[in-house]
Order: sequence, then C-alpha cells, then structure tokens
Amino acid sequence: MPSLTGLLIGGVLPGLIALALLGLPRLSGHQRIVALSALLAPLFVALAFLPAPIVVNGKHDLWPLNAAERAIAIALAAGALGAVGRALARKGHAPAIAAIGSGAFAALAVLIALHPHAVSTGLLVGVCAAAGLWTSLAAVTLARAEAARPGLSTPLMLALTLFAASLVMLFSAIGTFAQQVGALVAITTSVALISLWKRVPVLGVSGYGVVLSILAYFVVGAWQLSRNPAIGALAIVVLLPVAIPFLVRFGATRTRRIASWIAIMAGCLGAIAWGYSIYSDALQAAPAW
Amino acid sequence: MHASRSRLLTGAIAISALTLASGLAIASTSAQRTSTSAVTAASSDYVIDAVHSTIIFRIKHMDASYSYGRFNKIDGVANYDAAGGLTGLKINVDVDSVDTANSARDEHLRNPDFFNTKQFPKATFKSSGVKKSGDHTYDVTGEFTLMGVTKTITVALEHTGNGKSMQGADLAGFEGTFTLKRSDFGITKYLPTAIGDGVRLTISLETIKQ
Repeated sequence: MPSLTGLLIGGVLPGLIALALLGLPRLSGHQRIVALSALLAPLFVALAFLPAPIVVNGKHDLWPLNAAERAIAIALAAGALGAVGRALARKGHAPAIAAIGSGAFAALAVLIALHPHAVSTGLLVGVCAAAGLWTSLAAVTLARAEAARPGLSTPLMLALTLFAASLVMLFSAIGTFAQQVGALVAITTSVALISLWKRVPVLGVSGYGVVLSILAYFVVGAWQLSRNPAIGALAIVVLLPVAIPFLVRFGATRTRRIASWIAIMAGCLGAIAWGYSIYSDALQAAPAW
Repeated sequence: MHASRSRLLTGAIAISALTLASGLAIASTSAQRTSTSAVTAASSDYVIDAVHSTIIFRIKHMDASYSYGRFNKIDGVANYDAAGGLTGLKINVDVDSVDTANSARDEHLRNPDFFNTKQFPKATFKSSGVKKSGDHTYDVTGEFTLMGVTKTITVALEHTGNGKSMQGADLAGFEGTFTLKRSDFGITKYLPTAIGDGVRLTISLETIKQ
C-alpha cells in the first residue's frame, strides 16, 4: 500500500503545483503574464504531473526498460509538443497536430516494448494512429466546449472521468497506474477550481492534449500490460472524454445541465462497476497480500 | 458551412473513439502471445528435468514473517566434463508460472507493479565460469537477467548426487541458495517494509543426460 508521504507527494502535490502554476499568474492581473501562463500551460501540466511517477515508481529515468514506467517521458514530450503547438497556434492547426503526435507517442511508448513478440506491426501502427487521433480530437472538442461554456463543467467532468479511470487501473491490478492517474485527477480538479473562479478556459487544446496523452499512455498500458485488463471499462474510459464536449454543450438549460451531469456520472459509474466485476472475480481466492 | 464542419468533426471524433475502443476489444487477444525460448542441448549435455527441479523464493512480509513462493516452469541445460564435473549451466524461468498459493496475489505479481510478464516473460541465468570450491561444491558465476536487467552473480551449488532414471538415463543433481535485492532489478513496489527488498532463492535441479 502507498505510504502517506507517497500519497501526499504523488497525489496532492501535483494538484497544488497545477493550482500555483496555472492560477497564480491570473492573480497578477497583468495581461502579458496571463498570456505567458496560457502559452506555458501544457508545460505547467507536465511539470505538475512529474512528482507522481517519480514517487510511485521510485525512480526518475527518462526512458526505463520497463514500459510501465515511462510516464515521465510521456509528460515531458506532451508538454513540450503542446507548448510548441500553442506557440504556433496562429498558424493553422498546430495544437491539434501536436496533440496527435503526443498521443501517438504515448501509445508507442508501451507498444514498442512488446513489438514484435507480443504486438504485431499492424496493431502497433493502428493503435498509435488511433491514440493520436483520439487525443487530438478529444482535446480540440474539450477546449471548444470549454470556450463555448466557460466554467466548472468541462474540467470537472474530465476529472470525474479520470477518477473512474484511476479505479479501473486499480481493478486491472496495476496500483502504480491508478496512483499516477490519481495525480491527473488532482491536476484537473485544480483546473476546475481556477475555471470556476475566473470563468475562462485554462488549458486550451494543448493543455488538454497533455492530460489526454498521459491518460492514453495508461489506458494502452493497462490494456497491453495487465494480465487481466478490464477491457470494457477501459473502452468506456476512452469514450467518455469525447462525450464530455457534447454533454457540456447540451447543458444549455438547468434541466439539461442536470441531465448532462447524470449522464457523465452514469458513464463513470458504469466503468467503475465493469472494472470492479473483473476485480472481484480475481479476488475469489483469499485476499492478496 | 459551420454546420457541415461540425458534422464532419463529430463524425471524425466518433470514428476515432470507436476505432480505439474496438481496437481495445478486438486486439486484446494478440497481446496474449508470448515468446518462448526453448533451450536446446547437444547429445552429450544434460537438460533440466522440470518435473524434479524446483525454484523457491522467500521474501519478508511486513517485517514480520517470510512468505514463500515458487516458479513452476523452468528449463535449461547443464554441461559436464569427462570426470563429471560441472562446467556450465543455463536456466530459463517462465516468470508467468509464479505461484504463491494465492491466485489473486499471483496475478498481481505478473502485472506491471511487479514482474510485468507481458514485457518480460522470462528470467534467465547463463554461467560464464564454474569454479570447483570443494569436493562436492561449485561457485557458478554468470549473468542473471530479470525484467531486462542483467547482473553478474555467483551462486554456490552443491552437487547432491548422481543416479539413474526409471528409463536408465544418467541423472545429476545440484542445489544452491542465494539472495538478490529485487530493487536491483527495478521491482520497487511496496518497498521498504510492506514487502522486503531481499529475496532468497533456493534452486534444486535434477539434470538428465540426453
């Protein structure tokens, strides 16, 4: 079981760092500082996430042999690509293209370690392409939904989805993944607080791209590396981020907003329940450890 | 124009999500495949008789007691000189076969928190030198690989005897005990107290002439 120090550093610290890096510049009131903070948002998300893999895995190698311990590289690559994409945002679709790259790289980091003995070239290429497209399109639609309806809804719905994803990782018997996705929950919860406070989009396409790239890494990792992955629950976790923008836009009236929140919570509970069913099957024997 | 772009975007999102989701479901079976590296032996060599050979390990639990486990699938080759002295040893362990008499714990051990057997299905030992240390004992030095990490270790082996199988084949047996630190091989989950770092392994091998 994780120690209290581990939980604080790996789980709470990422949220506090995100709150400080993304929130404090907005306190200054200077437009240039706020603009610079927005430009660097992808890097800030990556930096906020870093304590989690360092504490959870007990090491800080950039590219370890163990494909399950490559989250540091994923976060840094996604943060750097996201910042470049954001800097070039005026020249077309640079943030979306950067998110394709970081999402594909996230899947590649897992699959390349299993290729060719357990993963074929076709599967590797197909999943990397799908992960890249999924990351980009989810990031774009989340950012647009947040721009259309600034506030709590988009980041908090994503935080709920990530919480469900964390439990699904746990039910796939990968505690280290669950803890690290927990750090993403803390980060997106901080983003939600800032959004509630300022009523402006905080992450943008590039920021969401970082969060989703890291999630893509853990989803592909749980699917490919777990001995007994909760496939159905993971599929729901994949579908929810692309459903959130529709739910946010759908919630134009109070009644519709309530329906949207019920829908996202139902999706999350569905994923958790599906994951737990596999977990409880595995625990038919005596309690482990 | 805007409406058609939105529809296009919606369609692209749906296709992308469905591709990834269905990919998760359809291709899951392909990841079940694992590589095998059969050990072959020349006719004068001995192979490890998996039925009569054992690798057991013990590890400290909560600083209180020792928990024991074993690996059920092993193979390998032993080489002897004309006088019957051990000259070489190669052992392959199927890490998936870990067995601690608790299926849930075994599944957790196979997952990325510990052995990550999808990526690292085998642990191997290949001797690089054998030194006779007594009348019936050897110091066997070699490369031990676990989780993709290779370390040079020396194992003291006792020659436990020679015999004949039911079918009349020559048999030779060895046993040895040594200790590794799991953190040296990148297995750091639940350190330092919940599950200890030191793992004591005992190997008992019966080899049979081919």
